[in-house]
Amino acid sequence: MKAFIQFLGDNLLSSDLPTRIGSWLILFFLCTTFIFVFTTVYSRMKKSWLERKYGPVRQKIEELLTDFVFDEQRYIRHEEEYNKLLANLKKLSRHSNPKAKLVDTILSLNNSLKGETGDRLQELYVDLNIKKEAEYTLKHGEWYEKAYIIKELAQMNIKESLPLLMKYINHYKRILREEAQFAAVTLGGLSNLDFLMSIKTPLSEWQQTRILLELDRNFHNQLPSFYYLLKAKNHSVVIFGLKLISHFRQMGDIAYLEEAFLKGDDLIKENVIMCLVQLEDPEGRDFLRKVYPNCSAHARLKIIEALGYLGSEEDFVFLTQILKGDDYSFLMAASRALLKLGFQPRIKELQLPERNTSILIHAQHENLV
Amino acid sequence: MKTWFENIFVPYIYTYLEEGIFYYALFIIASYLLLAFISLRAVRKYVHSNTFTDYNSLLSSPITPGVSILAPAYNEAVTIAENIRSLLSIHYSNFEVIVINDGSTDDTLKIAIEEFEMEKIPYVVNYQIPTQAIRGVYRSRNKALYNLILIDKENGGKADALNAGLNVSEKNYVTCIDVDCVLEQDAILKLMKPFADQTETKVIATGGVIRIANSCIVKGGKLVSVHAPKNWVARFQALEYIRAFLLGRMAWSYLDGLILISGALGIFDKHLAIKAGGYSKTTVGEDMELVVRIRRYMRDQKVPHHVVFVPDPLCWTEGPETWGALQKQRNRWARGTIETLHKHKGMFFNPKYRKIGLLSYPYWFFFEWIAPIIEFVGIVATIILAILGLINWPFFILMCVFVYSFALCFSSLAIMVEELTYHAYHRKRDVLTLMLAGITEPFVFHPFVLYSALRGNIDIIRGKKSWDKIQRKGFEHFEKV
Repeated sequence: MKAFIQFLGDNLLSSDLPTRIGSWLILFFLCTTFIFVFTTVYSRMKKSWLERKYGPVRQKIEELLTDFVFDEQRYIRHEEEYNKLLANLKKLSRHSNPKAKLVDTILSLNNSLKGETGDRLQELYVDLNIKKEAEYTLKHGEWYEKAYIIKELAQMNIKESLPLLMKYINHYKRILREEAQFAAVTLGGLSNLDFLMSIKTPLSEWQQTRILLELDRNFHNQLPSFYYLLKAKNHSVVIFGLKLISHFRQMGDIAYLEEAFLKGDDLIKENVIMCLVQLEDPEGRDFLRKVYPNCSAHARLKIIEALGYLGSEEDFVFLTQILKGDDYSFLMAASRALLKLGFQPRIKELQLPERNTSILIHAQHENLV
Repeated sequence: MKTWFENIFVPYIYTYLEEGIFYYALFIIASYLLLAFISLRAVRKYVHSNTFTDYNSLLSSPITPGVSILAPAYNEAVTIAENIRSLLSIHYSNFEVIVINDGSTDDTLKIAIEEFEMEKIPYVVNYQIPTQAIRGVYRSRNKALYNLILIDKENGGKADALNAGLNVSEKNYVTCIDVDCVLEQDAILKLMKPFADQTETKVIATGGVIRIANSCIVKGGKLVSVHAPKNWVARFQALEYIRAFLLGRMAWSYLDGLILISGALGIFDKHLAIKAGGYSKTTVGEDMELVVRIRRYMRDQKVPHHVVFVPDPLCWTEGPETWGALQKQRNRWARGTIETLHKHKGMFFNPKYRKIGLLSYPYWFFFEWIAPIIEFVGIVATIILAILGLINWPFFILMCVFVYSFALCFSSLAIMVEELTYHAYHRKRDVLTLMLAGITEPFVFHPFVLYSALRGNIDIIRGKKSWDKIQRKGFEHFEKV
């Protein structure tokens, strides 16, 4: 070891450049190795120590909160009991480790239990000063801390935080703006959906899914018409509007859908077609047949698929004409559409090429299953 | 002769060789450190972002994107039923499993048909990618298995089987999962999320972290307990995989220069994979080659795109436990890399391909392909000079210590990152095991990997094309051990 240190020491000041570089780098690597190993060991020991020290504390917090939730009448009737609970929880959660557990447990219970119990949990959340600390973090924390706080405030239904959160709906950090947008729906409800018309960044499919599920879960019976979203300048908001109309089967003026179809790209066209299928509007079928010749191949394919739901016997001739083509996708789509409409294929009479006949038989088998 | 060596070779050629190799090593090390630094930032960002993700939204959504899981099978009679069951129990709401029997000569097809009540259906395959003839397509009579499709085809190799799967797939995304891997329950959810997150930049493929499952406890196709491998060969690989995925791939994904998604677990946009021509049958590294080809296709179409890497450990695979099996695997990897680089040599320093052409491809060329060759040249030169008594021993020792200290640093960094982020190894002794592997690896594992890579280079010159399938022991074996 001594010899090695001597060797290294001699080379650190060597006149030969590669030797000098190599020696300094050896020293650097050995020091950083030591730091990494130490950090690994320290992290492991810290986890064990925290678990030993705060494990029982976290369990106690959970017990107190469970007791509060399932015996809330005791706390409602006796204010001293409630104050005692507050004092206990504050004392137990002085360190960040049990504090995190306290917040997580409140959030988890709030997610599972609604109504008056949820209101009581909200009161507890405020009385424990967690809301105050959350608002402080929202102003001064790192982006991921802010995003977590936004999620937390939305989950706890702290409506008075909404003006604070709305500042982030167009934030350049994706996670932060997505949480703010979601919170805008959760806290602001249906009256706040207008924010969708003003968002400057695209709405990802993930975000659309979240908002759609939230509307479905909590506002299903009071939804406004989403046709106004078709006027949005944001392309993704138009698509989202179409998905909402389709999912909630909102009948409205078909002219808006037609306009969106004519002005939009293939993705918008696809979503308009999906809407028309969901709405089962006969005018939709007429419209699609009218625009069919001027559409791209992708849109025409989607129209053929849609005719399987919207069409009628009047479309048999049109669809059987397509069966005479040679594009697999079109053949399959037309076959499926015909069979969905109750077409009984007389294969010999159709006089199709062998491959086309096989495709029709393939679709027929699918339809039976 | 001696005069020539003393007067010409030593002062000129040898010195340049010695310093050249030193500076080359310095460049590789600098690039590894830079990638590690970028990886750490990317992992940190991902871990923070992931805290907010409720994957169940994707699970319960009516607009969840569909995934076709392609599972090529060749002579897998012993394990096929269990493997299919494992795939069918994947935690995702919109998927189909397409098992492709690639002309097995054993009872693979018969067992699959009987076990899952499969019946041949009238099916016209859309041969968007040419493959060997498909003899039949089967679906189950059992309505509960509506999402299982079995293809029986003439033998054509793994790539051919995957292409047959692409032709039959009805979903917008495809994944090829090695049937002898154990997936984390939310693996597909996590890999599909980047596709759901995409906005203006199209996500063309996603990949996840593969970990070594040797000595882990697997029950009913699910990973129950993670342990460091008892077998030394597997142990070295466990550490190597942690380093490669956590300190390498994440950086390339962040830089948008990722050109390798592991064949064991990756999801592709099906339509793009078909437009790019499907899996290549002319290379044994079809996973890497497909990613490069799709990226090239997207670049040629001038469409902004991204390959996303998810740093969560999503797939646990059995690593080879014998040196012979490891040699076959690394030989194939080396050949696959060379074949892909050769096939796409037009991208080399080509500004048209931006980061792929100017950064990723040169990196793979100089540091993944050439590195073993240069290392071998250095070793041979050192031996020759040692024999002739011309070696600069202090510098040689310094170089060895330099490389070894870097190896220690990098391995300990990988273990630390693993500990601070995913913390997969709960037992202290597993972490110590990995550290011990880090200490001994440069003397044992690395020389063997170098040898295998060189063999790969020689085999490719000799025209070797075979896959050299490794015999797996199965996870039940580890449970008993």
